[in-house]
Amino acid sequence: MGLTAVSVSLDDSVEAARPWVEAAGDLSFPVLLDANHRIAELFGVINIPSTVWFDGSGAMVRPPTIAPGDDRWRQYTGVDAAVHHDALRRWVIDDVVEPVRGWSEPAAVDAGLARAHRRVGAWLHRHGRDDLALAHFDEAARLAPMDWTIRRGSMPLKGEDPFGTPLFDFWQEWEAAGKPSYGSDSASFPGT
Amino acid sequence: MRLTLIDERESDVDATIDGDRIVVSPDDLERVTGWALKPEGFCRGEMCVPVRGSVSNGEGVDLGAVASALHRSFVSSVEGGVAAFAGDPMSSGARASIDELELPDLDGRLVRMSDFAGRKRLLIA
Repeated sequence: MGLTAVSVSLDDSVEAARPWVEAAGDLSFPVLLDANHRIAELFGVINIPSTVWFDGSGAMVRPPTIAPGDDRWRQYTGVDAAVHHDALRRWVIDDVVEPVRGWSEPAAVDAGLARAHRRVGAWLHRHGRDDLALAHFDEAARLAPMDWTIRRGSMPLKGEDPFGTPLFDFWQEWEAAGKPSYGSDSASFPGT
Repeated sequence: MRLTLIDERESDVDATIDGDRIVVSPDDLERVTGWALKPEGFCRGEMCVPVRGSVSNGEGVDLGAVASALHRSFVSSVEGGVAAFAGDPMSSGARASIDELELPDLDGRLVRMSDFAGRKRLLIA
């Protein structure tokens, strides 16, 4: 049957995504840009790095799963990259879909309305209207406080460092809430 | 006024502001959202959603009413010249097929996931 891998960037623009893609060197799979976060709406991808598995008919066989490519962020994610890679191989070669560990439902939020505010805010930012954009980002965050694509994804647009203090503040908030919406292949997740 | 409308696609459309209503042509709506206004309601492929009340005033369709009919959210910034639909199909348990997804690569070329139908697909975000 074969496997096709595609990488989707949730960055706001080609300019924001390109340095990361170039730093990765020659990639054997396409890199697509999803500035309007369609994959959040369609498949519930609200955090990175993550993977979603689909069968040959296009149906999702595994929901978004935290899946770092390596162990660089191991101490934060609690996820071993090798465990995920083994699960991936078993699916591709043997058609075995391992259950995701640690999955917890997010609190009920109006995610659709939050995403619509985020789309309007991101467009306004791209077009130099930060004076109008900020209220939309704030409303999106209020409506979907545990959504990484909204919370962390809005940091660069608000002039905040997505690898700095705002990220760690948000991480603590998310951890205190029980790390909702995401599972992984590691037995230690969520928690230790 | 010119308004950028965002949904599956993003496009500039001619919009009329009528109080709280933002009205665009059915053709523009279909171009951006994929939903066509027909006598039986809003249709997309073989699927139709009946419309209660009026979404059309003869000159066009009211985007807020369209969002209600399609159970989608709608946010606008008339001052900024932009409006967007979004939804949350996961909350209703409906899971989209990856074949529905088409996105541009970094050079702007549109890639359709349906081009890889029949193969397992791994989406990496």
